[in-house]
Amino acid sequence: MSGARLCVLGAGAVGRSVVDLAEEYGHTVTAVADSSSAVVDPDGVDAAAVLQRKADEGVVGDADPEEALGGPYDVLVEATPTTLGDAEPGFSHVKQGLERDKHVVLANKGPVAERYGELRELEADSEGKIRFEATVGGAIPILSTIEDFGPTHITAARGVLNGTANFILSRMAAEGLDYEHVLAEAQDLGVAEADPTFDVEGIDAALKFVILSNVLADGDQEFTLEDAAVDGITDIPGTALDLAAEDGRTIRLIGESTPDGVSVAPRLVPADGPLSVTGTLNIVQLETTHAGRLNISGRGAGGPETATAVLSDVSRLVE
Amino acid sequence: MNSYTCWKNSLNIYADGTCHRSPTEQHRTREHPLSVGDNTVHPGGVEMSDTGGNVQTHTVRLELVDEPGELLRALEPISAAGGNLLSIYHERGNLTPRGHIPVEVDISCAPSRFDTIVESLREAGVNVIQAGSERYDEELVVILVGHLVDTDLSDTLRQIESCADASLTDLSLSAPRGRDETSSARIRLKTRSGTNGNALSKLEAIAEDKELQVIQPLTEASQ
Repeated sequence: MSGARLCVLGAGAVGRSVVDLAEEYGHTVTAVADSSSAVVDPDGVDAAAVLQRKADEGVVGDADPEEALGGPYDVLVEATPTTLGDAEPGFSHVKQGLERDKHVVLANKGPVAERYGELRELEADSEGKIRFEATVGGAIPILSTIEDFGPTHITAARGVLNGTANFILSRMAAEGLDYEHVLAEAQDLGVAEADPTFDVEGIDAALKFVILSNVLADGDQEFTLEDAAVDGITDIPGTALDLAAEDGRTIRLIGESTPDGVSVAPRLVPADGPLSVTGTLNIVQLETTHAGRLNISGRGAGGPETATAVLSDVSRLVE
Repeated sequence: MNSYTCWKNSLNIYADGTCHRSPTEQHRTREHPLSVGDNTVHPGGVEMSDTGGNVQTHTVRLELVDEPGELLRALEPISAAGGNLLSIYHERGNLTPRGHIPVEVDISCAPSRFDTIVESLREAGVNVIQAGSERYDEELVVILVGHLVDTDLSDTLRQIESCADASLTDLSLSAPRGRDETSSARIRLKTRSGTNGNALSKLEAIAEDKELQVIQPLTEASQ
Protein backbone atom coordinates (compact mmCIF):
# COMPACT_ATOMS: atom_id res chain seq x y z
CA MET A 1 0.00 0.00 0.00
CA SER A 2 1.48 3.32 -0.97
CA GLY A 3 -0.43 5.55 1.38
CA ALA A 4 -3.15 5.15 3.97
CA ARG A 5 -6.50 6.81 4.37
CA LEU A 6 -6.64 8.45 7.79
CA CYS A 7 -9.49 9.26 10.13
CA VAL A 8 -8.16 11.83 12.59
CA LEU A 9 -10.04 12.14 15.89
CA GLY A 10 -9.19 15.23 17.88
CA ALA A 11 -8.36 18.65 16.50
CA GLY A 12 -5.92 19.87 19.12
CA ALA A 13 -2.30 20.72 18.36
CA VAL A 14 -1.41 17.13 17.44
CA GLY A 15 -4.54 16.30 15.45
CA ARG A 16 -4.27 19.52 13.42
CA SER A 17 -0.62 18.86 12.67
CA VAL A 18 -1.39 15.33 11.51
CA VAL A 19 -4.01 16.76 9.11
CA ASP A 20 -1.48 19.34 7.97
CA LEU A 21 1.45 16.95 7.42
CA ALA A 22 -0.28 13.74 6.26
CA GLU A 23 0.07 14.51 2.56
CA GLU A 24 3.81 15.10 2.95
CA TYR A 25 4.06 11.55 4.32
CA GLY A 26 2.07 10.15 1.40
CA HIS A 27 -1.18 9.61 3.28
CA THR A 28 -4.69 10.92 2.69
CA VAL A 29 -6.95 12.30 5.40
CA THR A 30 -10.48 11.10 4.67
CA ALA A 31 -12.10 12.20 7.93
CA VAL A 32 -11.47 14.65 10.75
CA ALA A 33 -13.51 15.03 13.90
CA ASP A 34 -13.33 17.14 17.01
CA SER A 35 -15.67 16.85 19.99
CA SER A 36 -18.60 18.50 18.25
CA SER A 37 -18.13 18.32 14.49
CA ALA A 38 -16.65 16.33 11.64
CA VAL A 39 -15.76 16.40 7.99
CA VAL A 40 -15.74 13.28 5.81
CA ASP A 41 -14.58 12.94 2.21
CA PRO A 42 -13.62 9.54 0.78
CA ASP A 43 -11.36 11.31 -1.75
CA GLY A 44 -9.53 13.28 0.90
CA VAL A 45 -10.51 16.39 2.80
CA ASP A 46 -9.08 19.78 1.95
CA ALA A 47 -6.60 20.02 4.83
CA ALA A 48 -6.01 23.76 4.57
CA ALA A 49 -9.73 24.52 4.47
CA VAL A 50 -10.46 22.25 7.45
CA LEU A 51 -7.69 23.86 9.54
CA GLN A 52 -8.84 27.33 8.57
CA ARG A 53 -12.41 26.56 9.55
CA LYS A 54 -11.25 25.13 12.89
CA ALA A 55 -9.30 28.35 13.53
CA ASP A 56 -12.12 30.63 12.44
CA GLU A 57 -15.24 28.87 13.68
CA GLY A 58 -13.99 26.27 16.13
CA VAL A 59 -15.44 23.39 14.08
CA VAL A 60 -13.87 21.17 11.45
CA GLY A 61 -16.97 20.64 9.32
CA ASP A 62 -20.74 20.17 9.25
CA ALA A 63 -20.94 16.43 9.87
CA ASP A 64 -21.51 14.61 13.15
CA PRO A 65 -18.39 13.16 14.87
CA GLU A 66 -19.93 9.66 14.62
CA GLU A 67 -19.85 9.90 10.83
CA ALA A 68 -16.08 10.22 10.89
CA LEU A 69 -15.74 7.03 12.96
CA GLY A 70 -18.04 5.19 10.57
CA GLY A 71 -16.47 6.61 7.43
CA PRO A 72 -13.95 5.13 5.05
CA TYR A 73 -10.39 4.89 6.40
CA ASP A 74 -7.47 2.46 6.85
CA VAL A 75 -5.93 3.92 9.99
CA LEU A 76 -7.69 5.63 12.87
CA VAL A 77 -5.62 8.36 14.54
CA GLU A 78 -6.79 8.84 18.15
CA ALA A 79 -5.58 12.29 19.19
CA THR A 80 -8.29 13.38 21.61
CA PRO A 81 -7.27 14.75 25.04
CA THR A 82 -5.83 12.28 27.53
CA THR A 83 -8.31 11.20 30.19
CA LEU A 84 -7.66 9.06 33.25
CA GLY A 85 -9.57 6.14 34.76
CA ASP A 86 -11.77 4.63 32.04
CA ALA A 87 -9.83 6.68 29.44
CA GLU A 88 -13.03 7.59 27.63
CA PRO A 89 -13.96 8.54 25.00
CA GLY A 90 -10.55 7.58 23.61
CA PHE A 91 -10.85 3.92 24.57
CA SER A 92 -14.20 3.50 22.78
CA HIS A 93 -12.79 5.14 19.67
CA VAL A 94 -9.93 2.64 19.58
CA LYS A 95 -12.37 -0.21 20.25
CA GLN A 96 -14.60 0.81 17.34
CA GLY A 97 -11.60 1.04 15.03
CA LEU A 98 -10.25 -2.38 15.98
CA GLU A 99 -13.71 -3.96 15.76
CA ARG A 100 -13.85 -2.72 12.19
CA ASP A 101 -10.47 -4.43 11.67
CA LYS A 102 -8.73 -1.11 11.17
CA HIS A 103 -5.33 -0.08 12.44
CA VAL A 104 -5.26 2.50 15.25
CA VAL A 105 -2.49 4.99 16.06
CA LEU A 106 -2.78 6.72 19.43
CA ALA A 107 -1.42 10.07 20.54
CA ASN A 108 -3.79 9.87 23.53
CA LYS A 109 -1.99 8.38 26.55
CA GLY A 110 -5.14 7.45 28.49
CA PRO A 111 -6.10 4.11 26.92
CA VAL A 112 -2.50 2.84 26.74
CA ALA A 113 -1.69 3.81 30.32
CA GLU A 114 -4.98 2.91 31.99
CA ARG A 115 -6.40 -0.01 29.97
CA TYR A 116 -3.41 -1.59 28.27
CA GLY A 117 -4.49 -5.19 28.75
CA GLU A 118 -7.94 -4.58 27.29
CA LEU A 119 -6.41 -2.78 24.31
CA ARG A 120 -4.15 -5.73 23.59
CA GLU A 121 -7.10 -8.15 23.87
CA LEU A 122 -9.10 -6.08 21.38
CA GLU A 123 -6.08 -6.02 19.11
CA ALA A 124 -5.70 -9.80 19.33
CA ASP A 125 -9.27 -10.22 18.06
CA SER A 126 -8.79 -7.76 15.22
CA GLU A 127 -7.09 -7.68 11.85
CA GLY A 128 -5.94 -4.22 12.87
CA LYS A 129 -2.90 -3.31 14.96
CA ILE A 130 -2.29 -0.52 17.45
CA ARG A 131 0.77 1.72 17.66
CA PHE A 132 1.36 4.61 20.06
CA GLU A 133 4.85 6.06 19.62
CA ALA A 134 3.42 9.58 20.03
CA THR A 135 2.26 8.89 23.58
CA VAL A 136 5.82 8.70 24.95
CA GLY A 137 8.30 11.47 24.30
CA GLY A 138 6.72 13.19 21.29
CA ALA A 139 9.10 13.09 18.35
CA ILE A 140 11.64 10.82 20.09
CA PRO A 141 11.56 7.26 18.72
CA ILE A 142 11.47 5.51 22.09
CA LEU A 143 8.91 2.75 21.59
CA SER A 144 10.20 1.84 18.14
CA THR A 145 13.70 1.60 19.63
CA ILE A 146 12.40 -0.76 22.31
CA GLU A 147 10.60 -2.71 19.60
CA ASP A 148 13.79 -2.99 17.56
CA PHE A 149 15.79 -4.22 20.55
CA GLY A 150 12.95 -6.39 21.81
CA PRO A 151 11.42 -5.60 25.23
CA THR A 152 13.29 -8.49 26.86
CA HIS A 153 16.58 -6.85 25.94
CA ILE A 154 15.72 -3.66 27.80
CA THR A 155 16.02 -3.98 31.58
CA ALA A 156 15.00 -0.46 32.61
CA ALA A 157 14.06 2.95 31.31
CA ARG A 158 14.48 6.28 33.01
CA GLY A 159 14.57 9.91 32.11
CA VAL A 160 12.86 13.23 31.70
CA LEU A 161 9.55 13.04 29.83
CA ASN A 162 7.84 16.27 30.77
CA GLY A 163 9.09 19.40 29.09
CA THR A 164 7.07 21.78 31.25
CA ALA A 165 8.47 20.52 34.55
CA ASN A 166 11.95 20.38 33.06
CA PHE A 167 11.65 23.95 31.81
CA ILE A 168 10.60 25.13 35.26
CA LEU A 169 13.38 23.29 37.10
CA SER A 170 16.09 24.35 34.69
CA ARG A 171 14.93 27.98 34.79
CA MET A 172 14.79 27.91 38.60
CA ALA A 173 18.35 26.57 38.69
CA ALA A 174 19.72 28.97 36.10
CA GLU A 175 18.06 32.13 37.35
CA GLY A 176 17.77 31.44 41.07
CA LEU A 177 14.04 32.08 40.89
CA ASP A 178 11.25 30.47 42.86
CA TYR A 179 8.71 28.01 41.52
CA GLU A 180 5.74 30.41 41.30
CA HIS A 181 7.75 33.00 39.42
CA VAL A 182 9.04 30.55 36.82
CA LEU A 183 5.63 28.91 36.44
CA ALA A 184 4.11 32.29 35.58
CA GLU A 185 6.86 32.86 33.05
CA ALA A 186 6.30 29.42 31.53
CA GLN A 187 2.58 30.17 31.22
CA ASP A 188 3.34 33.48 29.47
CA LEU A 189 5.59 31.63 27.03
CA GLY A 190 2.97 28.95 26.38
CA VAL A 191 5.29 26.27 27.80
CA ALA A 192 2.92 25.65 30.69
CA GLU A 193 -0.83 25.43 30.41
CA ALA A 194 -3.20 27.65 32.40
CA ASP A 195 -3.84 24.59 34.57
CA PRO A 196 -0.38 23.01 34.84
CA THR A 197 -1.43 20.29 37.32
CA PHE A 198 -0.80 17.32 35.01
CA ASP A 199 2.72 18.49 34.27
CA VAL A 200 3.99 19.84 37.58
CA GLU A 201 2.44 17.11 39.72
CA GLY A 202 4.26 14.50 37.65
CA ILE A 203 1.08 12.84 36.32
CA ASP A 204 1.90 13.35 32.66
CA ALA A 205 5.40 11.90 33.12
CA ALA A 206 3.98 9.04 35.18
CA LEU A 207 1.52 8.09 32.40
CA LYS A 208 4.44 7.90 29.97
CA PHE A 209 6.49 5.71 32.28
CA VAL A 210 3.46 3.51 32.93
CA ILE A 211 3.19 3.05 29.17
CA LEU A 212 6.91 2.23 29.01
CA SER A 213 6.48 -0.32 31.77
CA ASN A 214 3.54 -1.90 29.96
CA VAL A 215 5.63 -2.21 26.82
CA LEU A 216 8.70 -3.49 28.69
CA ALA A 217 6.64 -6.04 30.66
CA ASP A 218 5.49 -7.41 27.30
CA GLY A 219 2.29 -8.93 28.65
CA ASP A 220 3.76 -10.42 31.84
CA GLN A 221 2.41 -7.62 33.98
CA GLU A 222 0.05 -4.69 33.49
CA PHE A 223 0.51 -1.25 34.98
CA THR A 224 -1.81 1.72 35.42
CA LEU A 225 -1.33 5.16 36.91
CA GLU A 226 -2.40 3.74 40.28
CA ASP A 227 0.69 1.54 40.32
CA ALA A 228 3.04 4.51 39.99
CA ALA A 229 4.64 6.38 42.89
CA VAL A 230 4.31 9.98 41.79
CA ASP A 231 5.85 13.09 43.28
CA GLY A 232 5.77 16.49 41.61
CA ILE A 233 7.91 19.61 41.66
CA THR A 234 5.54 22.11 43.24
CA ASP A 235 7.24 21.95 46.67
CA ILE A 236 10.81 22.35 45.46
CA PRO A 237 12.23 25.62 46.78
CA GLY A 238 14.92 27.53 44.92
CA THR A 239 17.28 26.85 47.83
CA ALA A 240 17.21 23.11 47.08
CA LEU A 241 18.44 23.79 43.55
CA ASP A 242 21.14 26.09 44.93
CA LEU A 243 22.37 23.41 47.31
CA ALA A 244 22.38 20.87 44.50
CA ALA A 245 24.35 23.23 42.28
CA GLU A 246 27.00 23.79 44.96
CA ASP A 247 27.67 20.08 44.83
CA GLY A 248 27.84 19.82 41.03
CA ARG A 249 24.33 18.44 40.81
CA THR A 250 20.90 19.60 39.84
CA ILE A 251 17.32 18.46 40.34
CA ARG A 252 15.21 16.98 37.56
CA LEU A 253 11.80 15.34 37.51
CA ILE A 254 12.96 11.81 36.74
CA GLY A 255 10.75 8.88 35.90
CA GLU A 256 11.82 5.26 36.15
CA SER A 257 10.42 2.05 34.73
CA THR A 258 12.12 -0.90 36.35
CA PRO A 259 11.05 -4.43 37.25
CA ASP A 260 10.33 -2.98 40.72
CA GLY A 261 7.70 -0.62 39.36
CA VAL A 262 7.08 2.88 38.10
CA SER A 263 8.12 6.05 39.87
CA VAL A 264 8.31 9.74 39.10
CA ALA A 265 10.00 12.13 41.52
CA PRO A 266 12.40 15.04 41.69
CA ARG A 267 15.86 13.50 41.86
CA LEU A 268 19.43 14.66 42.22
CA VAL A 269 21.41 14.14 39.05
CA PRO A 270 24.91 15.25 38.03
CA ALA A 271 24.71 18.78 36.59
CA ASP A 272 26.80 17.79 33.58
CA GLY A 273 25.24 14.36 33.11
CA PRO A 274 23.01 13.26 30.24
CA LEU A 275 19.81 13.45 32.30
CA SER A 276 20.16 17.13 33.13
CA VAL A 277 18.71 18.34 29.83
CA THR A 278 17.58 21.95 29.88
CA GLY A 279 14.47 23.74 28.73
CA THR A 280 11.65 21.67 27.26
CA LEU A 281 13.92 18.89 25.98
CA ASN A 282 13.18 15.29 26.91
CA ILE A 283 15.56 12.39 27.34
CA VAL A 284 15.17 8.68 27.92
CA GLN A 285 17.88 6.27 28.97
CA LEU A 286 17.38 2.63 28.12
CA GLU A 287 19.43 -0.04 29.87
CA THR A 288 20.05 -2.84 27.43
CA THR A 289 21.20 -6.37 28.17
CA HIS A 290 24.04 -6.50 25.65
CA ALA A 291 24.60 -2.97 24.46
CA GLY A 292 24.99 -0.87 27.59
CA ARG A 293 23.02 2.32 27.91
CA LEU A 294 21.22 4.22 25.20
CA ASN A 295 20.46 7.91 25.59
CA ILE A 296 17.77 9.22 23.29
CA SER A 297 16.99 12.91 23.49
CA GLY A 298 14.80 15.34 21.61
CA ARG A 299 11.59 17.28 21.57
CA GLY A 300 8.99 15.57 23.68
CA ALA A 301 5.99 17.70 22.89
CA GLY A 302 4.49 20.07 20.33
CA GLY A 303 2.03 19.61 17.48
CA PRO A 304 4.31 19.00 14.47
CA GLU A 305 6.85 17.08 16.61
CA THR A 306 4.26 14.67 17.95
CA ALA A 307 2.55 14.42 14.56
CA THR A 308 5.79 13.07 13.07
CA ALA A 309 5.60 10.18 15.55
CA VAL A 310 1.96 9.55 14.60
CA LEU A 311 2.72 9.58 10.88
CA SER A 312 5.75 7.29 11.31
CA ASP A 313 3.47 4.83 13.08
CA VAL A 314 0.97 5.07 10.22
CA SER A 315 3.72 4.39 7.70
CA ARG A 316 4.93 1.33 9.65
CA LEU A 317 1.40 -0.07 9.79
CA VAL A 318 0.69 0.14 6.08
CA GLU A 319 4.14 -0.67 4.70
CA MET B 1 38.77 -4.44 73.23
CA ASN B 2 35.50 -6.22 73.82
CA SER B 3 33.75 -3.18 75.16
CA TYR B 4 34.25 -1.37 71.86
CA THR B 5 33.23 -3.98 69.38
CA CYS B 6 29.81 -2.49 68.83
CA TRP B 7 30.68 0.96 67.75
CA LYS B 8 27.18 1.99 66.83
CA ASN B 9 26.04 1.51 70.41
CA SER B 10 28.66 3.82 71.74
CA LEU B 11 27.72 6.33 69.09
CA ASN B 12 24.21 6.35 70.50
CA ILE B 13 25.62 7.23 73.88
CA TYR B 14 27.10 10.36 72.40
CA ALA B 15 23.90 11.11 70.60
CA ASP B 16 21.80 11.41 73.72
CA GLY B 17 22.96 14.94 74.32
CA THR B 18 25.72 14.41 76.87
CA CYS B 19 28.28 15.06 74.23
CA HIS B 20 27.02 17.22 71.43
CA ARG B 21 28.18 16.43 68.00
CA SER B 22 28.37 19.39 65.67
CA PRO B 23 27.90 18.62 62.01
CA THR B 24 29.63 21.79 60.93
CA GLU B 25 32.65 20.84 62.95
CA GLN B 26 32.68 17.51 61.24
CA HIS B 27 32.45 19.26 57.96
CA ARG B 28 35.52 21.32 58.68
CA THR B 29 37.44 18.25 59.64
CA ARG B 30 36.46 16.63 56.38
CA GLU B 31 37.42 19.62 54.37
CA HIS B 32 40.98 19.58 55.65
CA PRO B 33 42.09 16.01 55.65
CA LEU B 34 45.65 15.36 56.60
CA SER B 35 45.92 12.91 53.78
CA VAL B 36 46.46 15.41 50.99
CA GLY B 37 49.57 15.24 48.92
CA ASP B 38 52.42 12.95 48.08
CA ASN B 39 53.04 11.79 51.63
CA THR B 40 50.16 9.38 51.19
CA VAL B 41 51.78 7.45 48.40
CA HIS B 42 53.12 4.18 49.60
CA PRO B 43 56.59 2.96 48.63
CA GLY B 44 55.27 0.64 45.98
CA GLY B 45 53.83 3.47 43.89
CA VAL B 46 50.57 5.27 43.43
CA GLU B 47 47.33 3.46 44.21
CA MET B 48 45.47 1.73 41.42
CA SER B 49 48.38 1.99 39.01
CA ASP B 50 50.31 -1.03 40.22
CA THR B 51 47.71 -3.17 41.89
CA GLY B 52 44.98 -2.72 39.31
CA GLY B 53 41.50 -3.70 40.37
CA ASN B 54 42.64 -5.17 43.68
CA VAL B 55 42.71 -1.87 45.49
CA GLN B 56 39.78 -1.44 47.86
CA THR B 57 38.68 1.16 50.32
CA HIS B 58 38.91 0.16 53.96
CA THR B 59 37.79 2.04 57.01
CA VAL B 60 39.67 1.83 60.28
CA ARG B 61 38.37 3.31 63.49
CA LEU B 62 40.94 4.28 66.03
CA GLU B 63 40.87 6.02 69.34
CA LEU B 64 43.54 8.49 70.25
CA VAL B 65 44.62 10.23 73.40
CA ASP B 66 44.09 13.96 72.99
CA GLU B 67 47.77 14.92 72.97
CA PRO B 68 49.91 16.65 70.36
CA GLY B 69 51.48 14.30 67.88
CA GLU B 70 49.10 11.43 68.54
CA LEU B 71 47.34 11.68 65.20
CA LEU B 72 50.57 11.77 63.26
CA ARG B 73 51.91 8.84 65.27
CA ALA B 74 48.82 6.85 64.33
CA LEU B 75 49.02 7.66 60.65
CA GLU B 76 52.68 6.91 60.09
CA PRO B 77 52.33 3.12 60.28
CA ILE B 78 49.61 3.26 57.64
CA SER B 79 51.69 4.90 54.94
CA ALA B 80 54.76 2.98 56.05
CA ALA B 81 52.86 -0.25 55.47
CA GLY B 82 51.75 0.80 52.00
CA GLY B 83 48.26 2.14 52.63
CA ASN B 84 47.04 5.17 50.74
CA LEU B 85 45.23 7.55 53.06
CA LEU B 86 41.99 8.77 51.54
CA SER B 87 40.52 10.72 54.39
CA ILE B 88 40.80 11.22 58.11
CA TYR B 89 37.79 12.00 60.18
CA HIS B 90 38.92 13.31 63.54
CA GLU B 91 35.73 13.44 65.59
CA ARG B 92 36.75 16.20 67.92
CA GLY B 93 33.31 16.69 69.41
CA ASN B 94 33.12 13.09 70.53
CA LEU B 95 34.74 10.89 73.12
CA THR B 96 34.89 7.13 73.19
CA PRO B 97 33.68 5.43 76.38
CA ARG B 98 37.32 5.34 77.45
CA GLY B 99 37.49 9.13 77.13
CA HIS B 100 39.59 9.18 73.98
CA ILE B 101 38.94 10.82 70.64
CA PRO B 102 37.55 8.61 67.87
CA VAL B 103 39.20 8.84 64.50
CA GLU B 104 37.93 7.26 61.32
CA VAL B 105 40.52 6.66 58.65
CA ASP B 106 39.76 5.62 55.09
CA ILE B 107 42.56 3.76 53.41
CA SER B 108 42.86 2.34 49.94
CA CYS B 109 45.11 -0.65 49.52
CA ALA B 110 45.08 -4.21 48.32
CA PRO B 111 43.13 -6.46 50.72
CA SER B 112 46.25 -8.49 51.45
CA ARG B 113 48.03 -5.37 52.60
CA PHE B 114 45.23 -4.28 54.86
CA ASP B 115 45.97 -6.89 57.54
CA THR B 116 49.58 -5.74 57.62
CA ILE B 117 48.45 -2.17 58.16
CA VAL B 118 46.17 -3.06 61.06
CA GLU B 119 48.93 -5.21 62.54
CA SER B 120 51.47 -2.42 62.34
CA LEU B 121 49.04 0.03 63.91
CA ARG B 122 48.58 -2.27 66.85
CA GLU B 123 52.30 -2.84 67.10
CA ALA B 124 52.75 0.92 67.27
CA GLY B 125 50.42 0.96 70.28
CA VAL B 126 47.44 2.51 68.49
CA ASN B 127 44.09 1.30 69.76
CA VAL B 128 42.18 0.00 66.75
CA ILE B 129 38.48 -0.13 67.58
CA GLN B 130 37.35 -1.55 64.35
CA ALA B 131 39.07 -2.52 61.15
CA GLY B 132 37.48 -3.15 57.83
CA SER B 133 34.50 -5.13 59.02
CA GLU B 134 32.26 -2.10 58.93
CA ARG B 135 33.31 -0.16 55.92
CA TYR B 136 31.72 3.16 55.15
CA ASP B 137 32.93 3.36 51.61
CA GLU B 138 29.91 4.56 49.70
CA GLU B 139 28.66 8.08 49.53
CA LEU B 140 25.09 9.18 49.52
CA VAL B 141 23.95 12.75 48.95
CA VAL B 142 20.35 13.76 49.50
CA ILE B 143 18.52 17.06 49.88
CA LEU B 144 15.91 17.44 52.57
CA VAL B 145 13.15 19.98 52.04
CA GLY B 146 10.63 21.20 54.57
CA HIS B 147 10.41 22.86 57.94
CA LEU B 148 13.82 21.58 58.93
CA VAL B 149 14.50 23.88 61.84
CA ASP B 150 11.04 23.59 63.37
CA THR B 151 11.27 19.81 63.23
CA ASP B 152 14.63 19.79 65.08
CA LEU B 153 17.32 19.27 62.47
CA SER B 154 19.83 17.96 65.02
CA ASP B 155 17.40 15.27 66.02
CA THR B 156 16.73 14.42 62.38
CA LEU B 157 20.44 14.01 61.74
CA ARG B 158 20.94 11.91 64.86
CA GLN B 159 18.13 9.62 63.79
CA ILE B 160 19.60 9.29 60.34
CA GLU B 161 23.00 8.37 61.74
CA SER B 162 21.72 5.82 64.19
CA CYS B 163 18.76 4.29 62.31
CA ALA B 164 19.99 4.52 58.75
CA ASP B 165 23.41 3.22 59.81
CA ALA B 166 25.20 6.01 58.06
CA SER B 167 27.87 8.49 58.99
CA LEU B 168 27.18 12.16 58.35
CA THR B 169 30.13 13.82 56.66
CA ASP B 170 28.75 17.08 55.39
CA LEU B 171 25.78 19.33 55.99
CA SER B 172 24.78 22.45 54.15
CA LEU B 173 21.65 24.25 55.27
CA SER B 174 19.79 26.94 53.42
CA ALA B 175 17.45 28.51 55.93
CA PRO B 176 14.31 30.40 55.02
CA ARG B 177 13.88 34.12 55.03
CA GLY B 178 10.61 33.91 56.92
CA ARG B 179 9.45 31.19 59.23
CA ASP B 180 6.72 30.07 56.86
CA GLU B 181 9.08 29.24 54.06
CA THR B 182 10.53 25.82 53.70
CA SER B 183 14.25 25.35 54.04
CA SER B 184 16.59 22.93 52.35
CA ALA B 185 19.55 20.95 53.58
CA ARG B 186 22.04 18.94 51.60
CA ILE B 187 23.46 16.08 53.59
CA ARG B 188 26.29 13.83 52.59
CA LEU B 189 26.43 10.43 54.21
CA LYS B 190 28.90 7.65 54.15
CA THR B 191 27.25 4.28 54.10
CA ARG B 192 28.49 0.74 54.13
CA SER B 193 29.09 -0.92 50.83
CA GLY B 194 25.84 -2.11 49.27
CA THR B 195 23.53 -0.58 51.86
CA ASN B 196 22.57 2.64 50.12
CA GLY B 197 19.10 1.35 49.25
CA ASN B 198 18.44 0.38 52.84
CA ALA B 199 19.79 3.68 54.16
CA LEU B 200 17.54 5.56 51.76
CA SER B 201 14.39 3.76 52.82
CA LYS B 202 15.17 4.39 56.49
CA LEU B 203 15.85 8.00 55.67
CA GLU B 204 12.50 8.25 53.87
CA ALA B 205 10.74 6.90 56.96
CA ILE B 206 12.48 9.37 59.25
CA ALA B 207 11.63 12.23 56.90
CA GLU B 208 8.03 11.12 56.56
CA ASP B 209 7.59 11.29 60.32
CA LYS B 210 8.58 14.93 60.20
CA GLU B 211 6.79 15.69 56.94
CA LEU B 212 10.03 16.41 55.17
CA GLN B 213 10.61 15.74 51.50
CA VAL B 214 13.69 13.77 50.50
CA ILE B 215 15.17 14.48 47.10
CA GLN B 216 17.03 11.27 46.39
CA PRO B 217 19.89 10.79 44.02
CA LEU B 218 19.54 8.33 41.22
CA THR B 219 21.26 5.12 42.20
CA GLU B 220 24.92 4.88 41.34
CA ALA B 221 24.27 2.33 38.66
CA SER B 222 22.11 4.79 36.82
CA GLN B 223 24.62 7.63 36.56
